[in-house]
Amino acid sequence: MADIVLVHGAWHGGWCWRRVAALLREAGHEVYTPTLTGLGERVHLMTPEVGLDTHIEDVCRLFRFEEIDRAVLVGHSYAGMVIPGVADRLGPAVKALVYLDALNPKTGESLSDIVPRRGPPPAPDPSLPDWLLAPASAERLGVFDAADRAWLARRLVPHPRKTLTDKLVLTGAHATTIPRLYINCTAPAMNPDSISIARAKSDPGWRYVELATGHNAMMTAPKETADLIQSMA
Amino acid sequence: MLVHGAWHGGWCWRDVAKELRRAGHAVFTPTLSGLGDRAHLPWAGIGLATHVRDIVNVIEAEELAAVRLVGHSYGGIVISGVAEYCADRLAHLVYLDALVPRHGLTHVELVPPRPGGSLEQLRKSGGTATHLPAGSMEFLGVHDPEQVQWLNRHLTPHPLKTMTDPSDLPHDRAATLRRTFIRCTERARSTMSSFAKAAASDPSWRYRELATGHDAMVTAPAPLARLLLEVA
Repeated sequence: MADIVLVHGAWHGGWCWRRVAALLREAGHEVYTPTLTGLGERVHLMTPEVGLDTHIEDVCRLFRFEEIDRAVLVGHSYAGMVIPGVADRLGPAVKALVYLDALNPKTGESLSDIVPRRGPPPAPDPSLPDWLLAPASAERLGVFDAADRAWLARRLVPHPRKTLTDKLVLTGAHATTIPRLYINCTAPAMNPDSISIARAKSDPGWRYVELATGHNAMMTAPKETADLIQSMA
Repeated sequence: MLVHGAWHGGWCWRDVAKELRRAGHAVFTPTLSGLGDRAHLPWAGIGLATHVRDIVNVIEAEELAAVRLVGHSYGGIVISGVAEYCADRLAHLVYLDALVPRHGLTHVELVPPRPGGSLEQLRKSGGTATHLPAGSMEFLGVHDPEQVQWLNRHLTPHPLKTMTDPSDLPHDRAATLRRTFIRCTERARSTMSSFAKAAASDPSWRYRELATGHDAMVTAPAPLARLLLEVA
């Protein structure tokens, strides 16, 4: 049985892993679903200073305080920026990385460096301060079930923009040499021309799989997602 | 949902959470802001209301209902505050060797500082401090060397403002819920005795005892889990 740490993406919180966490716990794993600062139940701690480094530190501290010493670390979407940073700082405590339809940055890159811009930037939301980014639509997240769309509508919160331009800095090779699985969610694909996917697909150092579900696979295909995560445990 | 006390973090429930999950329950062990894995966040302004919000938000974000909410030590003040916001989501409050707050009173007023205790030391230091250094192992009732080391690795200073903010409980909704007090009787902490006595003599409370030290989740996780399962 393994320790498994599940890190949510932009606008979400630890809550989004409910189905996957239950399946993994049933299978006997120790599962942690931390919420990044400013999001989910930590929404009251949001400040303009919250950045990528805050989120990497959030997860590193969970490892240290829970004394997690050999975990599979999973990142969804934006958390692809976070999990290599955690692996770099913690070394052997992270034994494998799972990128669930996630960003796949190299050292020195920010999210904005690797996400293709489709059309002109969206008009700023007047109800939000300019350092916050309004949630993506359920459709964009690949969620079409009415109850799940209502779940998202209740729970998604704005994401701090600083995390989009902060650059990931890796100091060693650990994060790019341990076993890595990329799960590309293809139906519908969120960014078919994504650099993140192309990198994993073309590099034999990665295990690459496709899952015929939308971007929020932890909601729309929990069983398949849990099985893939377990396969790295 | 297990709410830790001063200086601790969600980590302290490790063994209890394991037992409760084995029995099939969904278990949440949030860490309060400014402590443990959340000690890296800016401290300015972290007060009792922050800690109450920390827990209310987990109930909201995870969309929980009929929660059995457990507070250890200082966590008793927090869970009473949570009840004020969302009593309708709570099925039972468990005060584990905990403070039972009253409207308008601060931690310091509920529990007079012990001679030589950390609050007393702070008062003598002139009152400019922002945090309370961790209590002694003697105070926490932990003597096993391995457990002592575990705590020493992870106890963090506690944001002092949470102890000088008065409880805001105008409706005392906690009193409308089923409540259990668990008294840790080994070298019983005098700081908790008034709360234990009140609960033991009030038929609206369930009262249980555990023959272990104040940090029962560390020193007696299995017996504690069994008591918690009684209300689950």
